[in-house]
Order: sequence, then C-alpha cells, then structure tokens
Amino acid sequence: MDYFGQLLANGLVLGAIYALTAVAYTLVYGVVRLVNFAFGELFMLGAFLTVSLMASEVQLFGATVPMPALSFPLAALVAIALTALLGIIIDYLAYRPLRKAPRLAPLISSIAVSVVLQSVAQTIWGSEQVHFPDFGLADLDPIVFFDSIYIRVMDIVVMAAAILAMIGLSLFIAYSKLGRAMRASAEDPMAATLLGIPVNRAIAAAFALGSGFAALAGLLYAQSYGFAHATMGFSARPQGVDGSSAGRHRLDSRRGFGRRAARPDRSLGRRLYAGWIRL
Amino acid sequence: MLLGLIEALGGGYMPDGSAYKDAISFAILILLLFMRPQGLLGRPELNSAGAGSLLDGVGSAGKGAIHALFGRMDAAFGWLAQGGWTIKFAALAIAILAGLLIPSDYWLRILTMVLIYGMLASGLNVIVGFAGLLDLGFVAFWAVGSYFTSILFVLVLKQEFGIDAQSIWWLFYANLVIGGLLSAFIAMILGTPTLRLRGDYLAIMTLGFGEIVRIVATNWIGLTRGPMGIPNVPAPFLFGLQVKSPTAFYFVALALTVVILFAISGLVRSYIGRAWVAIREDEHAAEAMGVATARYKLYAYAVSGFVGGFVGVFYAHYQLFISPLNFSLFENIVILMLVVLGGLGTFIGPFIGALIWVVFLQLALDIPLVQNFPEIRFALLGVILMCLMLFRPQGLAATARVKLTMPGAGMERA
Amino acid sequence: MARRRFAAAAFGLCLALGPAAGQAADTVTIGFTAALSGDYAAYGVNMKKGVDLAVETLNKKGGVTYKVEAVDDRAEAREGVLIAQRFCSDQAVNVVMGYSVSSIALAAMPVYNDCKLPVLASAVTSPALSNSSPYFHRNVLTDAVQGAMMGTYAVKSLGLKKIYVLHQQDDYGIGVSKAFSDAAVKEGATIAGTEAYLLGDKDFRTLLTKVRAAKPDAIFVGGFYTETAAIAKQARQLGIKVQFLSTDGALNEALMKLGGNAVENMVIYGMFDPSIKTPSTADFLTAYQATYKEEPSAWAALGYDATMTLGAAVDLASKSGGVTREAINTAFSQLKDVPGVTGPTTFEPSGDRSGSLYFLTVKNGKFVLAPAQM
Repeated sequence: MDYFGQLLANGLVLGAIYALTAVAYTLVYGVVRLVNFAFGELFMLGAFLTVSLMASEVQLFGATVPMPALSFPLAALVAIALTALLGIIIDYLAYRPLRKAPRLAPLISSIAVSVVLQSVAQTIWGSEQVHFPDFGLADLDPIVFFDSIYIRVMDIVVMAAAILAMIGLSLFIAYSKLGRAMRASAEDPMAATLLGIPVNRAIAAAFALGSGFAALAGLLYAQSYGFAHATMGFSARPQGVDGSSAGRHRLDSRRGFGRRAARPDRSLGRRLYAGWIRL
Repeated sequence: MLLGLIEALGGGYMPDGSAYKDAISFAILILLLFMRPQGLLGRPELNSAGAGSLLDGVGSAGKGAIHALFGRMDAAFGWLAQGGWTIKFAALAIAILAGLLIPSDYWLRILTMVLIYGMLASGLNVIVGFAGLLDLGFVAFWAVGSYFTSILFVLVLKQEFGIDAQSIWWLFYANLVIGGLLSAFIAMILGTPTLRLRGDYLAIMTLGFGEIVRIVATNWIGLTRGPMGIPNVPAPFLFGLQVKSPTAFYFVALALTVVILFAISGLVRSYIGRAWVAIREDEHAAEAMGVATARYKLYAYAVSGFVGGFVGVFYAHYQLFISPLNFSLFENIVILMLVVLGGLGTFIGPFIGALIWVVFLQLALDIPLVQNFPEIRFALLGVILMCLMLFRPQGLAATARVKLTMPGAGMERA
Repeated sequence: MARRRFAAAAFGLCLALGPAAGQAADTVTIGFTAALSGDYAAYGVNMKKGVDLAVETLNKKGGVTYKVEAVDDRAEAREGVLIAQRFCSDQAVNVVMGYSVSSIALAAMPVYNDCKLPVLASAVTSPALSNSSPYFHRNVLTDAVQGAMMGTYAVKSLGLKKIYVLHQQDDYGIGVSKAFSDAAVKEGATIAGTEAYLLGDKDFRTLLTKVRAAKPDAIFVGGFYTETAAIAKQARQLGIKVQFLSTDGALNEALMKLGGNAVENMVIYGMFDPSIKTPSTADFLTAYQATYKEEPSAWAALGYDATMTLGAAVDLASKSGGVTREAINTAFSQLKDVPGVTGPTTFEPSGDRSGSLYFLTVKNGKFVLAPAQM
C-alpha cells in the first residue's frame, strides 16, 4: 500500500505540472492549429527569468549586471509577463506572416524559433544547470501520510497553483469577452472577422496567455526540481554524453497530451460559439 | 495528469521500468490515439481537423531584389524539372566531376553527408511530399536498416561464427535490399493503425512509433548493445577492394542516390504516384473517385520505409559505428526540415535542403564569433531558416514540384 | 531584411577565411572538439577552459607556440566523421583533443586511424575505445578499473553490506556499475537491486520509492553530478537517509550547488582532489580561479592535464626530430609519469591511462579526502 501510495503521490505532482503545460500548449494549438515547437523554450525562459530576477546580479557576456533581487512571487509574475510579451513578439515575427502559407511552413519556423531561443539562452545563462533558489516553503519537512507517503509542502503548493491556474484559465476562456473572441477565431477565422472580431488580436492574446502559462509551468517545474537548464524545455535533442542516448520527451508526451486535453475545451468552445452567433 | 500517474506507476512496477518509462508513455499515447483518435473526451468529427493538403496556401513573396532573385530561381528550377534526360545527365556529370576534382577529403565527406541526408529526405518526401501524410517517425526506418546490417555483420557473423566481412562482401549489397525490405515491412505494420488518423494526430502517432524504436534500441542491450553502440562495422567491399577513401564513399553514395531517385521518380510517375497525389490533394475526393486510399497510403509507408532502411544500411557501413545517438528525434525533425526547406513533392528539393543544412553548419564553424560563442552557430542557423521560411514558405525549389495533373487542371493554383 | 544581410555577410566572411593555410614550423595546432552547445555542453565547455588555460601557460614558457581550433560537435553523432575529416584534411592540425561523447569518438576513430592523426581524449570512458586505434590515447581512467576500486572500497573500508545500485543507462553508467557490483559482491556485500535511469532525467521519485522499499544501507549512483544531486535531494525528501556513493562523474562543485545539504557525506572517487595543494595543483587552482572566477571541475582538470601532457610529448618529439603527427603519437606512448593536477600520467599500450584514485567525501559543502583511503 505504501509503495502504491507513494507512486500515486509522485504521479499526481508530475501530472499536475504536465497538465498545466498541456493546457497552455492547447491554447495556442486550439486557436491557430500550430504545433508550436518553440513552446518548450518559453517554458525554459520562464524558469530562467525567474532565477535571474531573484538574483542580485547576473553575469552577462562577462559583465556583471545588477538585478533587482525580487522575491519569488514577484519575480515569477514579472517573468510570466515578460514571457507573455515574448510570445506576442514571436507570433508577430515568425508566425503571423505565415498564416496563409502551406501548413508545414509555420511548423518549420517554430522549430527555427526554438533553436534560436535555446542557443541564446545558453549564451546568456551558460550550459550548466542553474540552481533554482529555494523558496521558503521548500525547507519545511515533508508531510507524511500513513507513515510512509512523503509529499513536500512545495509540491502541494505547486499542485495547487497548477490547478488554480487551470480553473482560472477555463473561466477566462468561457466567460470573458476576449476568451470568447479567441474561441470564435479558433472555430472559423473568416466568420469571426465578418462578425467584427479582431482575429489577429485574439490570436496574439492566445499567444500571450499560452506563453505566460508556459512560463508559469516552467518555473513551477524548476521550483519543484530545484534547477533550471537551457535545454529543459525542448528536449528533442540528441541525448547523451558518453554514448548515452537518453530520452527526455516529456514535452512530446505533453504535446500529445495537450492534444487530448484540447478536446473538452474545443467542444465546449463549439457550443459557446454557437451561442455567440445566436446573439 | 493521467500520463504522469501511469508513468509513475508503470515505472514502479516494471522491471527496469524507469528506463522504459518514456516508451510506456508513448505506447499509451499510441493506444489512445488508436482507440479514440479524437482525444479522450473529444467528439469523433474532430478528427477531421487538420485534414487537407499540406502543400496548399499562398506564399508571401518578398519585395524588390529578393523577389527578382526568387523569380529567377523559380524559372531555373521550373526549367530543370521539365528538362529531359540531358539535364539529368548534366547533373550527374557535375556530381561525378565534383567527386573527381575536389581535392579536399573534408569536402568530399561533407558532400557524402549531403547525399545521405538528401536520400533520407527523399524517402520522407515520398510520404510527406507526395502522399501528404505528416510522418515524424521516419528515423525509425533508418535505424532499423542500420541496426539490421550492423547486428548481422558484427554481432552475428563476426562474433558468433567468426566470418570475416571480406569473404561475404556481397552481403552488403544484398543487405541494402533486405534491410530496405525489412524496414518497408515494419513501416507497413506501423502504418496500418495510423490509416484512420489525419494531420497532426498522425504526426503525433508516428512520432510515438519513432521514439519507441529508439528507446528499445537504447534499452534492449542484449540485441543492440544499447547506448554502447556497435563499433567496427566493416566498410563495404567491391569485388575484393575495400571502399575506404572518402572519394570511394562519395561515389558509392552517388550511385545509391541515382538508384533511389530513379526508383522514386519511376513510382511517382506511375499510377501509384498519381494515387498519392490524389490523396494528398483531397482524400475524400480520391476515395470517391475509386482510389483505394488505405492501400496506397500503405504503399507510401512501404516505399518511404524501404528508402530509410536502404540508406540506413549504407550509413552503418559508412560511419563504421552506430549507436542510438544517430537516430534521435531531432534528426527526424532535421530530415523533415530539409524536405520542407527544399520543397515538398520535388526530387531536387531534399538535396537542396541537405546542401544548405550540412554545408552551412560546417562553414559556420569558421566564423570568429562562433569560435568564441559556439552556441551562436545554431542561433544563426535558426535565423536563416526562419528567413527562408518567411520568404519562401513553399520551399526553395517549389516550382520543381512534379506536375502530375492534366494540362489545364489546377490552373487556379498555378 | 537586416538579418538576411547579416547572414550573407557571415557566409562571405567564412568563405574568405577558409581553412588556415601555411603554418610556422614551431606552432602546434590543437584540434579541440566536444559538445560545446546543446544538452551536454557543460562537460565540453569545462574541458575547453582547462585546455585554454594550459595553452596559455605553455605559451608563456616560450619555445613552441600552441594554438587551439575549437569545433563544436553538439553531441550529434553525424558530426563525428565530418569533424574528424576536417582535422585530418587540415595539415596544420597536429593533435586532436577533447571529446565528451564516446559514440562520437568511436565514429571518428576510423577516420583518424586512416590519416594517422593522434587523439588525446579527456572525458570519454567507453571500454570500446581501448585498443580502438594506435592513435587513440585518453587521460581519464576507464569505468571498469574505477568502479571495481570503488566496490572494494565501499565494502572493505566503509563496511557496507547491502547496496542498491542506480546507474545512468549508457556505456559509462553500465560499465562502472557492473564493475562496482562485481567487486562489492566479491567482497561479501549483497546488491539489493539495480535500476537504470536516463541521462537528463529529472524525476527520480518513482525510482527512489522502489529503492526505499528494498531498505538498503547504501545507494551507489553510477552517473553524473546533475542526476546524482537530484537523486540525493529527492531521496532525502522521501525520507531515505542512507549512505550515498557515487563516481568521478559527480566530482564537481555543482554537486553541492544543486544538491545542497542532501549530498553531505556522500562518498565519491576521482583522480583529482581539489583540496590537496601539491605545487602543480596549487598553481592550477590559483590560475584557474584568477581566469574564470570559479572552482575548476574534474573535466577542466583533465583538459588542463591533457594539454600539459601534450606539452611534454611535443618536447620529447622535438628532441628526436620534427614535431609531426606521427612523432607526437610516438611520444605519447613513451611518456612516463608526467606530473599533473590529476596525478601522474602514463599511457598503457591500449591507449588508456594507468593511474590511481582518491576517495573523497563531502563535508560542509566541500570535497575533502575521505578518512579512509585504499
């Protein structure tokens, strides 16, 4: 029992972060039907930006740049905002010009964006794993259930944050004006345009939200495991020092999972969109 | 969340589970896609999302000089594609001359790599470019070919029976075909469950298959020596002479390229190719017109698998060592990128894509900035890729696309 | 548009530069290749820091001038053959150093063998590389030797009886754990279980839950510091409080940075003890800290030593004629006990290094020599 229970607990923590990533991923996929390979890089940037903002200074190309040394929640918020902004910029530069292009073109340009972001992150933050500073809660003793199932306080916080974020997002998509515009653009961009919905702005909003959530997932992940790494996001890289070839396809699993998680949102979207038309 | 749970539980209860846990995730993913292609909670009609041609769409043409440049390039490629045998022989002659005249072994190796990746991309092009099925598991067929010949030559013949490679030199050539057939067979097995899927769902499922093959190659140490790889794969012999120098390898690769291109172009111009293009352009219409879509899709898998296995056999005997590192997911994406970059549904496109990719990566090594910041090399590559895609979303050699439509048809897209 | 022009300019620039032709006779060019970007860049970058530092030191000494030409292999297998051929074709390159991935070195060795270019690798430990070519040498000990010594040490000196083995699923992890387990069993310990994980894994809770159920009195981790630190940390979180053992792969300051107090008392081994201040290590430590403002890792030390060994080989070669590829290779096999920060270097005929190990432990966030040595 304790063996199974511990595995169950482990799985729940991992699953909460996966699910959050999947939801964030789905947001963009659902609206523009783009398999966004650069998504993992935003995940990574969320973590790195948080680390940097929490530090008092960072080394940039050999020069020391003073940083604000924010507290964790504040740094996290700023990092999420910055990543969301980056999401919009990426959409504007690399995807929007290709909206009418053959379907594989944006896929390739998203791979290119992913490669660029990863290389840049490595130039800035180096190739080593960066220790993610422990937030006060991490030092608390793990909570022990039934004498044998250990769960860290931090993991509970991470899970709660992930679940809250997901609920918040669902409500936003379902009831806010922008959320409805996003769903309408997803269903039929042409019809949405005709109805006076600014489709490009809705898509940009989806990118911003999706990127922000990716950043949130990334920093929660980094917080849970205590490190950040330039390649933690997109790990479809040949793996292996010393002949090893290891697999880190979490993102791909997530990607697949995202697809599945996408369904309820979209069928919900369809119904609500029908409502929108009737209005 | 379910995935995380199953991963943890599976990892806990299976022997050596943690090494295989990624494979478990993928197996579940594939199973789910097979059972409920529209997603766990979705509705069936959603599977049709993502259908439609991969190639259609308007490209944004650049302005001014760039526009003119692409215009000239389009004309050139269009002319090349229409050219008859003369052009083909001229291209072959240039390739042969290059092999004879280039004094640098380094550049010959680079060109050999271009040919290898060009061949692989051509194989993938069959399924993505001609049949219009987005396949992200292509690398698995390449791996099967490589592992087949390496295991046979090194682990079975050499270590079990002590047979030297030279005494059975012909086996390499037989293996090209056998390895190809084996991969084609596996491709058809893997292709069957994907027949119901379309678009991005198909991509995810094939990606799962590709990764499972690689994870098995990493962890089934008894068969593949796992991450240690298989060293000392013998170089091929040609009538008692060992193919050893970079020049010799270049010419073998060139010969294989000619064979592959000849075979693919023959197929594409036959009724099979027409059926593929029909499926690519509109699967429902094709079906309505009496094209047995499932059968022709399987043919496409088989042909692309054959090319993958064929190249894989050569690759193992060229590099003389293989390990799962060769067959990562990233390689898969690279090959897809080459096809899209060069132009889907063309014969020359994959080779142009390979030329840009391989040559740029080598040239970039000499940029002083890259010497100081090695990461910049890939950032530059990414920027170039992005620019190429933004200006030429349909691929560099798009006008060389094989035209299989009747005269007068499809004018609105021309 | 600007990006395009920049890319075009970059193309033009590198075409103009081309491979450097014509070299002064008293310049030794080191072709350095390793993963300098991508997932596994950390090892290669550290190695290169060591090499650069040593080149600086050697150049200050006067005589032969050393030059490094660095090529990034990004841990991508297809690069192996191309990079090898690049160095082979460039007549200026006298020796190749680096390599962080065995698979790439194995793919490259046939090419080096054909063009008779000597290789002195620093971080590849695959047993398949022993005897792979007369032109191959490495100054890192192989897993088999090291693992066995650790196994014996764990049982005889630390008195451990029931050990759980976790290892990285690759040639390094498998080799070192197998040697460790065999040696430990021979000394009378039992192996409670063996589990593999993948390099780059982040979540070990499932694995450790399994370990916890087996109730071992020690856990041996055959892998690198990133995963070792994560395993130790997550084990503490699951309430596992047993002795941790690891390998030279964990000998890195980052182990403490990532693992915090979870890695306290972990016993590892290495060929390099940062706390021992022999004259050569003291020089190295001061110079390294002055240049890079950080503690050197084991890979930096190996890169440094490899370059110093090359210096000794070049001196030997120039005494008996010219400094050619062949002469350097011959000199490698003649060298005896070249002093270095990782101990004296002597090569065996197989190309491997014969050497000794230090056993180290973590005390107050620092590596110190373990109380018991063998």
